[in-house]
Amino acid sequence: MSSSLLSVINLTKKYGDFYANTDVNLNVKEGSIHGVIGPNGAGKTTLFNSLAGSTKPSSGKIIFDGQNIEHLEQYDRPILGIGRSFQVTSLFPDLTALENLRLASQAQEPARGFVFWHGITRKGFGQRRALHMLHRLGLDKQAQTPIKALSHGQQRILEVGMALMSEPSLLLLDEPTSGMGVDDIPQMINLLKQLREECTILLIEHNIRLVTEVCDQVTVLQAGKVISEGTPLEVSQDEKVKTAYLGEGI
Amino acid sequence: MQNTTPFKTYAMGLIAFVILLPLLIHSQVLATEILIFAMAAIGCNLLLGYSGLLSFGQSLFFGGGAYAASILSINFDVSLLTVIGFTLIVGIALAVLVGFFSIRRQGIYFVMITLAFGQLGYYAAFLAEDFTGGEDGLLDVPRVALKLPFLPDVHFDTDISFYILTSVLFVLSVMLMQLVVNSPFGSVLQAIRQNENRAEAIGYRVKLYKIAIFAFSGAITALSGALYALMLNFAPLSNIDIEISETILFMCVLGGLGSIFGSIVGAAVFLLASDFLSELWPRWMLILGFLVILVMLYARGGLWASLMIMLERAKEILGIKEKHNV
Amino acid sequence: MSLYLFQILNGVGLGMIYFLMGVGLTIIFGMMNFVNFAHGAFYALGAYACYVVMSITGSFWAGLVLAPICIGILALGIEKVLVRRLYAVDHSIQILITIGVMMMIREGTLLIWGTVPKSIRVPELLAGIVAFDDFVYPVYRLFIVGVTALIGIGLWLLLEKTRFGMVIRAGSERPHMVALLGINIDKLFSMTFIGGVALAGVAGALIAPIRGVDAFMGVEALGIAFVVVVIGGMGSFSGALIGGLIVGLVQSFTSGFWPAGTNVMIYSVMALIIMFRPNGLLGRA
Ligand SMILES: Nc1ncnc2c1ncn2[C@@H]1O[C@H](COP(=O)(O)OP(=O)(O)O)[C@@H](O)[C@H]1O
Ligand SMILES: [Mg+2]
Repeated sequence: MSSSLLSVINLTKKYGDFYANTDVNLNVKEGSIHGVIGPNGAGKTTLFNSLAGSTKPSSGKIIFDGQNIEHLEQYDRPILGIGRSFQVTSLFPDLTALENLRLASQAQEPARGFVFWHGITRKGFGQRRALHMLHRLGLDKQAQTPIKALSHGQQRILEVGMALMSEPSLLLLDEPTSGMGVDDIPQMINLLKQLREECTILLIEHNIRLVTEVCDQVTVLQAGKVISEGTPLEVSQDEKVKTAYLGEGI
Repeated sequence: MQNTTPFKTYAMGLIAFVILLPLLIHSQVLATEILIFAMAAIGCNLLLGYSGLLSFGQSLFFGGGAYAASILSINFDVSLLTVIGFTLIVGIALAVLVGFFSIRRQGIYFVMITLAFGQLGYYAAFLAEDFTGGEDGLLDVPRVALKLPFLPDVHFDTDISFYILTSVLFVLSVMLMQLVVNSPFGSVLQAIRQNENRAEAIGYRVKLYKIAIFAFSGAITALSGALYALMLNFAPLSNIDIEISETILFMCVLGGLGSIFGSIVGAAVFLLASDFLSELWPRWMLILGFLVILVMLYARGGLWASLMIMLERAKEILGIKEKHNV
Repeated sequence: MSLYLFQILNGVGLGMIYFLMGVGLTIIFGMMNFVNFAHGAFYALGAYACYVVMSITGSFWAGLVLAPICIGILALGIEKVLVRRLYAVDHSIQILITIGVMMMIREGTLLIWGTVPKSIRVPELLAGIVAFDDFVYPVYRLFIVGVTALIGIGLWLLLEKTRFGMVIRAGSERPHMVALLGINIDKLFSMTFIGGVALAGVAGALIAPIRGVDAFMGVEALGIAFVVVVIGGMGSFSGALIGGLIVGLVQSFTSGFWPAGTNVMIYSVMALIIMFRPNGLLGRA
């Protein structure tokens, strides 16, 4: 059996009496792009929150790279190799694009953030790597532009770029194309295809065309539970999935 | 935003400022007071302006520093450096303690918890008469001499010598804080202020950073409280009163959040205005309250930034007129 | 035994006053997401209003009824001129501006009434003591427990059983939903603000005969109201009630063996509670 980079075992997350995730099981193969789909409110983002550590699951296990991680704090996980982008853009709005990426890079050496006795050198503290990433994202010209002055599409690209700064082996992307115009989406698809060479990707996406085009495996969530799993083709022919999406107009 | 003024220029500017200040306002005591409160306002700005933490615990650090320095100076034959060292330790310890509890919550809860700690400190000082003198405060606080090996002792009993001492500590601590806010550490604080959740998601231990900046704030605020007690030769209970937190907060806000230079301006304006107005009208704080409301409604960058904007506008208008003339 | 009963009654009386303070703060915050640091100043003003009305009319009852009305009218004005612009801004700005308001009120009261505390005499009817066997207790303190309990029940009925209350509760959980219900948000906010502030006014007027009236009672009460809310959990009616009672009881029992230490004790209890329950006893995570 080809090795799983990430295994989720019976993961449950409760908010009060409400089950946002119930006994979710998931295996993500190393080197694959694994899609997570499901109607709004299915619990996809909640699952990501548990994986990335921004909430603690109520029960269940998360095994990443052979290690139990469900008890680890959120700030430990990028350093372990889990990068995460947000569904709702979450950047540092008054800082420049360069500074945003530099901060994400600097975070990978935890002690460096406590250096208070001298300034940020021109090349150190993640500066060089941030410039590199800007170039790769095609945002060189926007290096000194504050985030709030960027277009929505540029912000979405940068949102993914932030997650890449930790050089993750597992990348969690939460609806990277959300709110993007049709013209910008091809750029995101290109980026995803490039990334497949570098890391394993778990991808939440509403755009079914995109899912079919890039994903090797797809897991379908509904009302907090896994209802189907398989290749994009298998999943799209599953009756349960069709019913789940009924009325969503797909 | 990164401050691009070269470090040396900044230091020269500060030195020029402390030399000119007493000449301009003709009172060494008032000048000393301005420097002391500027340090406290900077301590507040480190938290509020740079890290987004609105703390009402400042009175605890200020008063704690005042008591620490006074108790040591009254009861022991020590050198000034020992007093300063002890003050800094007490300030940092108090700040780490308050920080540890208050950062468990965010936003409005955080503010309320720091305020509760400020109140707790006040009532504790009131009770601990043996150490703090209770309601009467500590009287006859001596200005201990600076004792150096192989050199004669340096005394600070005159106004001018005490002003010089304050200036040296002021310049040193402001330079340090200038370094801090422009350092990699300072950049993480900016990130936390703007988006705490993302800062943690990319790998920063947000709570540790918050406690660290509390420590800096506690240190500089305690130092200013100590200097204030030495200046007055007196450590009154009012040094640890919630009103001190308010005063420091107002100086910081008037001067402008996120600007160390602004805090110096804020302290100077506040103290000069209070010096002038309080003689005319004992209830001058009524006007101050109104002023704070106006600044927060219409000039959030603070007085200095507003002045700069106004100058720019004036220049623009004049510039346009010149063109017309041509 | 009777000593304990005495302290429990005292604690409940104080606690109910703190509850009135805390619940106003909490409803205003929950509904409008507005942080009112001037809350304590309105409490002090309530006491002064009671004092003024009483010295004009000679009737404590008139003072008790008119004080919250005066404070409510003042709150109406302040809401229209100032508070209304602040709903959307950052909490720290709300705090700084309401501190400005607090300062203006405090200095204003000092300007008008000076630094010497005023005292209010309890009316004849409430001045005596009640005695059960060997247990004696001041009538006025029982009166406080009764009145505050009535107000508390009324408030609870208003919030739980009426349409207005339903909207307020909905508003504190999902503000944008209320707008969708076609309700006039401006009017609702201004009524909530007036109501919350008037409750502080009632608390001030009720405590005045026991504590006396001075300009600094506001800061003191503000600190306590925060403790109540931190202990109970912000935005929660029952949290404010429990928080208020805990603070009142701690204060009353401490004053039995360590009178000078009551305030230290209150704040220490709060520190202890947030150490184990950072969200307060009834706060949501
Ligand atoms: N912090 C929370 N508290 C309570 N309920 C929540 C919280 N976060 C999410 N939920 C609920 O969990 C469900 C799943 O949400 P989410 O994971 O965001 O769905 P998806 O990303 O699939 O659209 C929703 O019904 C949402 O209301
Ligand atoms: Mg989602």
